[in-house]
Amino acid sequence: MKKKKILRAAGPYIWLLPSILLMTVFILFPIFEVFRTSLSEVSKAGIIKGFAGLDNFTKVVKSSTFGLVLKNTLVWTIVVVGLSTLIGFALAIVLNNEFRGRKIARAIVVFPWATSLIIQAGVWKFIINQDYGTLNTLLMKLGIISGNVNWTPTPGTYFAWECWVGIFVTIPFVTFCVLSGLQSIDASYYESATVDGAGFWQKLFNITLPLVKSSLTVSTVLNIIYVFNSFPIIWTITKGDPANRTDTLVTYLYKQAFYKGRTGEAAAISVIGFLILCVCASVYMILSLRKEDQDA
Amino acid sequence: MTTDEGQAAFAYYTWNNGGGFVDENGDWTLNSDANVEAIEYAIGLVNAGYTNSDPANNTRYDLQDMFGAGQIAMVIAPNSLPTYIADGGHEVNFGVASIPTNTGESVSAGVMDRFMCFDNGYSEEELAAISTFFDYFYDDERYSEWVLMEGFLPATIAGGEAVAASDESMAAWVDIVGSSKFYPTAKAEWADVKQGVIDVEQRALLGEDVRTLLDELQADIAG
Repeated sequence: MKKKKILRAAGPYIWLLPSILLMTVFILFPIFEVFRTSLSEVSKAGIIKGFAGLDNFTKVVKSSTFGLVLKNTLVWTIVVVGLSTLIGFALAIVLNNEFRGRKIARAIVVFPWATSLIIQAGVWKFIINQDYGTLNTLLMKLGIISGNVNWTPTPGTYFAWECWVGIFVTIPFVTFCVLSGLQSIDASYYESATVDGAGFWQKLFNITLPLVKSSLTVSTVLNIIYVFNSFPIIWTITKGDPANRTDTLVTYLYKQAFYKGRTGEAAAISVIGFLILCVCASVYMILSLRKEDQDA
Repeated sequence: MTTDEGQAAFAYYTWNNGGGFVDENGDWTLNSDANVEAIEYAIGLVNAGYTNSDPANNTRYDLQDMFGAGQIAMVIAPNSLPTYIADGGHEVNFGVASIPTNTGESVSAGVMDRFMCFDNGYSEEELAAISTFFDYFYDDERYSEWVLMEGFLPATIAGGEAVAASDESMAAWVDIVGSSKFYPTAKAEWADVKQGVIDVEQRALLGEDVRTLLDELQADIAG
């Protein structure tokens, strides 16, 4: 009897064990290793030589490049997440309406999402190239320009193009998250609002937005994490060049680790990024969920 | 001047102006007058519009494609260029010339693989075995066969003769092997120097002063 009771009590934990083991091996252990490496003196060959305290962090933060890269990362994340959320939301509202060819339109929106990021970024790099890019060729054939235009005359414009590619590939995810939220809204809310004389904006702010907020929260938090850690777009288009002007934390730490052999510093940058993300995502979730509770 | 290969541009311009990464003692000389002059000259070519428009981002493959398509007149390229152009489906008539120089003696950038034996206090017998292996590998006939199979430029005179005889277009490449210099990759600071000179080039492209940048790099590397 007692044995049965113990087994019953242990049952849930046994079922959870495989997940816990997987999480420990594939999530917790790598995180622990990154923290350990960031606090260690590491040789160029990647061998840990001993405890280094906060030396790696000090070296990283003291470097004049780090401030620039951190600023780039924040701009990149805010611009890409902000604009893709705005455009994705608007697109979801459009796609939620009944119109001819809606299914085809929805399928087309998925395309950028379904294509590999490396391919997307490679294609955009090819489009905007001054010497052989398709944008210049197209505009010249249409007679709009007479000679090749340099679409990336400064590092800032390069970065703006990278942000645009980031927005372009992120829109589908936001659109489909919001669309799933929109489809769960009962049409009777809108009918009642219409009877009461509510206009488009009133319905948008008083019905649609509050009811898709949980979908938006999920897509925004996930996007903050994905975009902050995004590597392929920037790496394919500029590799963070020229002179780190388009680097974000992830491309910068990759260079530190694999071009300069500074694994300890790369791990420190990784930890800094991890902590920033944890704080941002937590604050955003706490704020939005608290507001949701208050609204309820 | 890209993140991957900008050290090659540094090498071509500085070596052919009498400068370079190190002096004859193997000490770093990154901020020598010859280097400053060479990099200022290279940046001047870009700013005057004589080169491709985006040297910090155009890779050698971008340039080789454009060269194959007849869109640019001159490239610095490795001996795989003829194959690369043919594989790309292009047909272009071109000739091979040595790198322009300011010193009267053209220098090419060589890239080499090395056979290495670690110094593990080997016995006479073991050292003899190592010698036997090298003698076997570098036997004229055997090595010539290997070089032809790999398509690399040879490290021996007999290998050079075999390559030049097998393919007329390769003769010009074999001629320049003797004028090649190599990166000081055996020095512990090389990874930092490589990325450092690339950073100097890219910051100079953005308008920063070459001498100041090279002085900072030299101080950072050599202390």
